[in-house]
Amino acid sequence: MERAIADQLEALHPDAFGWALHCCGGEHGRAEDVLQNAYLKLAQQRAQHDGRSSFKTWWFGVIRFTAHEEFRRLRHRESLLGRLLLQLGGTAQDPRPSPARKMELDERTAELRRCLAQLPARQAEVLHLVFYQDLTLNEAAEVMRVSIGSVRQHYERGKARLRTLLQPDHLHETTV
Amino acid sequence: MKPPSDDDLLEIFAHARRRDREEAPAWRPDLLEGPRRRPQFTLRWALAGLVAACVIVLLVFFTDAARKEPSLSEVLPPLLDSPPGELFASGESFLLTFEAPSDFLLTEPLNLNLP
Repeated sequence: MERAIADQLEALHPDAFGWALHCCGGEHGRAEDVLQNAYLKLAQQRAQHDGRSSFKTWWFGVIRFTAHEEFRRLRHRESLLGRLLLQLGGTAQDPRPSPARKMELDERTAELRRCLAQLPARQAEVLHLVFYQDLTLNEAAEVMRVSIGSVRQHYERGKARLRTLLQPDHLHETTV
Repeated sequence: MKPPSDDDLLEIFAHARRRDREEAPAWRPDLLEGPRRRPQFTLRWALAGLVAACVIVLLVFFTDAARKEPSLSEVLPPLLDSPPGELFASGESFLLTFEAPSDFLLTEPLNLNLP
């Protein structure tokens, strides 16, 4: 692999992990797997940057696609093998974070993640890409493979809905 | 640029970003270098398997071709060698002359008189 690409990947690594974490609904282990699989795609040259978009938006698109692949694979496994394992002895893994893990999570971050999970996926994605990753709406549209008009609509609706969900009285209602 | 009214959301997301960065796994450059040889390895084994399968198919084909089997007409005894004749020839004459013992029970109107 070219040195320049490796350097870019290294610089983007923390943000790429944050994006993978969002795509995996905040599940740390799954996000690590997704990111590792995305790196594997690059190493095996199954994904190559053709220069039509910036490296960051292209790389985030690869991670998003890999997360969707992983989600489909996981859902299939849970539907067949997972149910079987649960019936046999309850050995299947619980996707929810453990109590210890919950304690580790910062309360504000956990609240934000909970509120984002209540939004439609596209709205949550565009809010993460704009506010967390500091991308423009055009770049977010490239990552999400949708039109700029659609992204703008998701962005405005998502912001309004997220503000409502983050209000203290609303948070109190959802947590009680 | 985002309008200043979005500062509340920016602050919340920035906080989450800082938290996630603390928990992010360390960068491992070996992820980009290590497994590149893997497809060559699997490709080599796939080619070897393909060649082996072709050899087996060719062997089976030539073995079968070399073994001469007699044709079916030579093996089976002659069938249907009786002389040809009219089908049901004896049955038709019998049906025309047959009278059942209960025919006298039939009433007159039910007896059909064919012209």
